[in-house]
Amino acid sequence: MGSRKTNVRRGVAAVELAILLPIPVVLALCSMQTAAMIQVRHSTLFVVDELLQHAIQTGATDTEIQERGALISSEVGLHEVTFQVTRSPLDSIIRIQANVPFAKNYEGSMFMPDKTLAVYRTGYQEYP
Amino acid sequence: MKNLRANVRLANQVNRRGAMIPLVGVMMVLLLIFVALMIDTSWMALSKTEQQMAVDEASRCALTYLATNKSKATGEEREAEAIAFAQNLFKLDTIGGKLQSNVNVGIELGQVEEVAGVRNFLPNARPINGVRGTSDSNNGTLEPIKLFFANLFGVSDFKPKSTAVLACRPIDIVICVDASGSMSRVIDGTTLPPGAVSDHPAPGSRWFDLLVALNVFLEGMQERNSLVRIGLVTFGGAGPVGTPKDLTLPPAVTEVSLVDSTGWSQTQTVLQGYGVLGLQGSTDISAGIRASTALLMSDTSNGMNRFIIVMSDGEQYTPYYAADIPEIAAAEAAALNISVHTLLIGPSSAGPQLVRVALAGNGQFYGQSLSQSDLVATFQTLMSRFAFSLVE
Repeated sequence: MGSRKTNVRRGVAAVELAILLPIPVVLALCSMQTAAMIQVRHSTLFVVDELLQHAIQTGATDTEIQERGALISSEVGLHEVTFQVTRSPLDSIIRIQANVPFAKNYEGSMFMPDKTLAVYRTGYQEYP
Repeated sequence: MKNLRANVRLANQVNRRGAMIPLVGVMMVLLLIFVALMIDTSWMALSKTEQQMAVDEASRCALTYLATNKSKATGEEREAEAIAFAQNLFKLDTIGGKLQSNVNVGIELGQVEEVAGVRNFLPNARPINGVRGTSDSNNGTLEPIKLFFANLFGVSDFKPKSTAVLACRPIDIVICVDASGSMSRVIDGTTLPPGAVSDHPAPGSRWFDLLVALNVFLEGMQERNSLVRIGLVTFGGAGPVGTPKDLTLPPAVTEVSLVDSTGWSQTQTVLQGYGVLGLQGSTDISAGIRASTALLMSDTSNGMNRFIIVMSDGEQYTPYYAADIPEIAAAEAAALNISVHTLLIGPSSAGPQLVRVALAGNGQFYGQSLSQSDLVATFQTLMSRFAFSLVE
């Protein structure tokens, strides 16, 4: 009878779904991760700008800037961020760069576990 | 008949092959639309923020450069230098993941005038008291931001526009100076400077170091902002210039009312006068803040930007003034929209109290100065802090 053939074809749709589903799932995960990365970058940008304004207005030292950066970044939910301060006294330029390990700031960072985001802002400091 | 039914059933089963493809296809299209929206809108928001921050900083840079001694040029040459410097600064940051090396941010110098509470920027008006920065892809002051998926929807780029207007603003500042006896000591210790008579400030004393730094501050403010008025209050039990030393005098004295830069020499004269009169009394920071607040509130014609800068070499002297808590005086000032800033002169451990006073007064503690150069640097920082503000 035809029943053996019928039984063999049962579940074809499920198998197809199982084969095809990873594509949209991976796409969704990738896009979520990319959006999260942009969001982390955006949050860090505000922290770095706050530090830059503080440095310009108060003449804070590198250590003070780094300590304040650690405090602010933890308050906005960023983890293990390190800050670098570069000064160019000749033309009164100051640059503050935050290095953010992405994996420490987004739990599902399976595609880019070692990615570090570098966010910086540059300003003019009259009296470095 | 049986065969026919079996064939139809078989045909239906055969047709199930690939049934998931259209479903997944539709899902993918929808997903792609959401992905595109999610990523591109985040990227647009990030780029817009980067652009605004870069324009703000370039504008501030132009005005600061123009107002300070960094350039030796004068007139239009100096203005052109300020604009070029700001434009170069703009190129150092990324916007939309890209350095803006091929464009120049628009920087215009002019005047910000306030009419009935509304501020207007008048480009090229003189004397200059403001700057306007503009960044816009449509006029070539920003490279268009590339998006990831926008091409799918027929949009090639994102073209954000940002403007910043920065101006010198009218400000009232009261310099609230500790005139207690300890200010006649050296800044990095507790001894009198060589050759000094007790409590008469001499070169090398904290008082004289403060005079040097204050002169830098006053000259700098005069260069930068013609809309600043400065008053002077002393506290510590010493009387105003011309009166004999007497502890029964009020613990804080208003020495100079709020005056524009034409009257600032009076402040210098009064402070120098203490070299002859001598300093005395203890530290009553509260009385100083209260007298400063009263001075600021006596004439509010200059608007809402009011500041007190408290300079002390010690904390509130509790045996005399225990009941008066400086943090409360600062909080009362803050309630009247006055910011109280503090700085510590000399090796005292009064830092924590001055930090608390600054916090209560919505201000900032500007650290401890243990040398004349420290003090000058602090006043230079204060100058940068008070000279300009972002108005738009």
